[in-house]
Amino acid sequence: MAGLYFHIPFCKQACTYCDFHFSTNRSNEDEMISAMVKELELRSSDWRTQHFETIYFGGGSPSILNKGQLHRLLEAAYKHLRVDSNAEISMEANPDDMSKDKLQEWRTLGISRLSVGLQSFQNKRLTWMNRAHNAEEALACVKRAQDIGFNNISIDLIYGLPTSTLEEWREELAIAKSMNVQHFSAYILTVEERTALHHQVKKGSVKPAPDEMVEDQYNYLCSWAKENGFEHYEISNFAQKGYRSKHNGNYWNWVDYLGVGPAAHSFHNKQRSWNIAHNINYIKKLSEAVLPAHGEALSKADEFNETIMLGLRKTEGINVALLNSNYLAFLGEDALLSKERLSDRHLAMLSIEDGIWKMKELDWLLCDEVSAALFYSA
Amino acid sequence: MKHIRNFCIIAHIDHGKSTLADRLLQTTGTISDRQLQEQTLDDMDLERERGITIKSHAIQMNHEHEGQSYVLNLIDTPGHVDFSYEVSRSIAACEGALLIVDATQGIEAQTISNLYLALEHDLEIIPILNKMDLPSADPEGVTDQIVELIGCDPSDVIPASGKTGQGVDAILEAIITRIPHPKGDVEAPLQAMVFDSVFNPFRGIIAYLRIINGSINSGEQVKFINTDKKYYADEIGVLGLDLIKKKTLSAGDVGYIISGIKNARDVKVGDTVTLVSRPCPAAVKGFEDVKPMVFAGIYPVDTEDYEELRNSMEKLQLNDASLVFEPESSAALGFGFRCGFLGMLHMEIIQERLEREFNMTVITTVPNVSYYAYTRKGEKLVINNPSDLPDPSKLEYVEEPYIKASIITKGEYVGSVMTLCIEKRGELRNQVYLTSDRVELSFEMPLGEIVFDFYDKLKTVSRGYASFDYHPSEYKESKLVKLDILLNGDQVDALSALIHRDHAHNLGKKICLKLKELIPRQQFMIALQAAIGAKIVARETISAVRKDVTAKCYGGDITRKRKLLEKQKKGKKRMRQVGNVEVPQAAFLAVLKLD
Repeated sequence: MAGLYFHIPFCKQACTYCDFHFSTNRSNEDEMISAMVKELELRSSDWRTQHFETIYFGGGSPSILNKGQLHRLLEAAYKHLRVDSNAEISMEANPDDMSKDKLQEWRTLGISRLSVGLQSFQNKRLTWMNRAHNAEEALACVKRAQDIGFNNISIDLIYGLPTSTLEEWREELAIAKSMNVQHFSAYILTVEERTALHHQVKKGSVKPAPDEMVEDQYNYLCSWAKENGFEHYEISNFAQKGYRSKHNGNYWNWVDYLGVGPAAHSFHNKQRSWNIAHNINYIKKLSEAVLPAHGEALSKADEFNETIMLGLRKTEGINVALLNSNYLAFLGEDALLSKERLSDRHLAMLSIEDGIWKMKELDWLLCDEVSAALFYSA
Repeated sequence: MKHIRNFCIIAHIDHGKSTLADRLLQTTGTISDRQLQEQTLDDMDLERERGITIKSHAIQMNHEHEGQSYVLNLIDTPGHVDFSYEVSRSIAACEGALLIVDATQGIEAQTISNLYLALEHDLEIIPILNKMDLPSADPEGVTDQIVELIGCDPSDVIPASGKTGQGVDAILEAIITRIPHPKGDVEAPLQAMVFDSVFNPFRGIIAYLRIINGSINSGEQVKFINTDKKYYADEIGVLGLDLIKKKTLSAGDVGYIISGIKNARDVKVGDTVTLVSRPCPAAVKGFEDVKPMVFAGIYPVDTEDYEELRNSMEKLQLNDASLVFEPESSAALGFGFRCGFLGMLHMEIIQERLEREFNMTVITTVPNVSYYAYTRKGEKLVINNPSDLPDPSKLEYVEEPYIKASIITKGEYVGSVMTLCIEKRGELRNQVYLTSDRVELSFEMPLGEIVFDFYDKLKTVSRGYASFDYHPSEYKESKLVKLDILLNGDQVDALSALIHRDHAHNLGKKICLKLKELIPRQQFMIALQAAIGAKIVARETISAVRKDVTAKCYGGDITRKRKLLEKQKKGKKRMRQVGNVEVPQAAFLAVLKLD
């Protein structure tokens, strides 16, 4: 089993908080698609035996591509890789791109799942984020997609915004509820370096929400999700039964994935690699039939730490008995996880049953602290 | 001797001393263009970055004038008030000085105090207006300032530009025709003054000398009068771009001696060198044992690095004799050293050199000056660490060192500079208009106030148009109290400071606020308190971390996330554990960064 990821590095405009790789210069879209097709072709020999069950168009803004461009990428995938006939094919879509025509095209191309970047239902928040859509479009686009026949839709929401209140977040979730989607991702606003938001925070013109407010909103989110039949299966992800994101699950479950496009990441044979995050250089390298990638082979310690880090993010947690037995020979006794070695504080944040360790839902926001504490360091 | 000229340069930071010096070296063919690194004379990385000279340097040039060949010795001087004793020794080794003034800026406080030093030593002053190539140059105005200051003829002032090379020939000519040649008795017993020393890891200490009287031959036994130590002159010579070996140095010469000395402490700037076989009757006047003015604790971030820190400090001391230290221990920080520095810049330099050259991560505690505490029993104690101050019940009174400060600024900033100095407990002693727009203010103020963020504030209130110089004056009684800082109820000795009673409450509040900003949130709530004795005067709270999760973990970039967490685990090691609180380096100097 494996997943295929296409990174489409173009956007109409830059959202203030986003640190993913993209460019607003779209003059070379077609060259980019050709380069990505070339990359897929060059790398396909390593992936011949793999069975691809998911394809994901991410970005950037893949929804700005036209039908022909999307078709070329999918065609290359089917030509060079073994793709399951029932593969989950997801598209990250911005509301302003979701016209009836486009939605129809995506259906014809076989796209089965939409992940819609709504973020908020309030114009003042959308403007502040520098999103390209407004609240009205946010509401209408999902309905339009459903009318056309999409029945696996996820929406993205952002909470913990500066000056936001619990009341405001309740209202956002009430609107989300009315949309009858199968899945949603709710992210705490994170101030990433090299973003406009980071600059504003540093300058002091934006003050991040206090931890206490974020925590209140998170706690409400958890109870709201439960009431509405969503399973909280990863820190930021919630799904109706049977509608978890298969593709994103691959990242968290150590399943191999092939990432195509600038800044795309791949995981294969316990090696991680990533392409350069530069559109022009990416195109140039591929025109010379050179793969523009860097990588690292995971050491045993890296593997061990990743298992902890990814495990604690999931509702399944970590199978500590298995982890200990797998790594004892390589890392020695010092690495082993045991209850006795946990601080009282961390012990209280974990639920431990039958050798499975997981974060308690209401302590999940301190997952990084617990992960770092469990990490092995030589 | 008639063909030797010894001179130094007096200039304010940024007035273009080094660039002009480079021009002299180039024109006299001392160095080729290829060898000319920018600012050749400042050869420590730190010096080049900060654009200042920390150590003195010397270089010999040869120049033809009217068919005669001359030896010109340029002795470069440090450009910061922390090193004023070294400046005085460099000046004492010369007969003349180039006074370089930026034609766009005018005379600054530091320049004036060094100029007075030079005049005291009867040096011939050659005034030079530098940066004449800049459109904002004001030659008439600045010439008036110079004329008023040294009483020269306006036509004596040489217009120049280090950038274009303008005036360089005129300067060389003035050095030869205006500066007197050295006067000394070649036949007298050897009397030479050390004006600087450098440490070379292969050859030990290289002492720079000015021969006042007599002569010395390679291999002779010499005595350093003030340290009373004897050595053999293994090698002597003059200072070109590299060391140039000679058999003999005699009266008037500037050169070096290598005599197997391993430690900078054994060679004191200002000391007199003479021959054991035929000693001179008296030492050169003006020698002083340099005393540290500012003290602070230096501690390893990781307690295990204590021995390594000791080794590093000892090595540093080999080439910086003005650094003094002794072991001390702190309840909060464990084992470390109480160090004495010449001033705040010197302290920063030592900290940076420890980090750069020795790869040591250290914590520097709040700096303080040296206080005298008089007890009820009639003892006088020297207090170099606030924690050593006796209990108030046993204390009669405390004295602190005062300085005479001179500040030169523009007329429009006089008001705000005065307000600042008075806030810092300064008393105005004099106010002189140097020109219609430049004012010299003289204050008497406690040195302890200069240690706390004075420079930065002075720069701010004067928008950079103020220069500052000071000299220690005397000790005076002061109403000082010890301000303690408590973290979760435990006093942190490394954060204690002696503060004037009238300022203590206000400062306590500000320190707590600043610490709140600098100490990251932790897994539990932290109470910050400022106390005078048992009385709490300020309190702040740092609330516990409630979220630290990275919301997004996809796009498949697992590597970055893993590395972030690895760093998070390691990052803790760069902080210092005080009780159960992790305190970052910067917090220990919080008191210096108050608004």
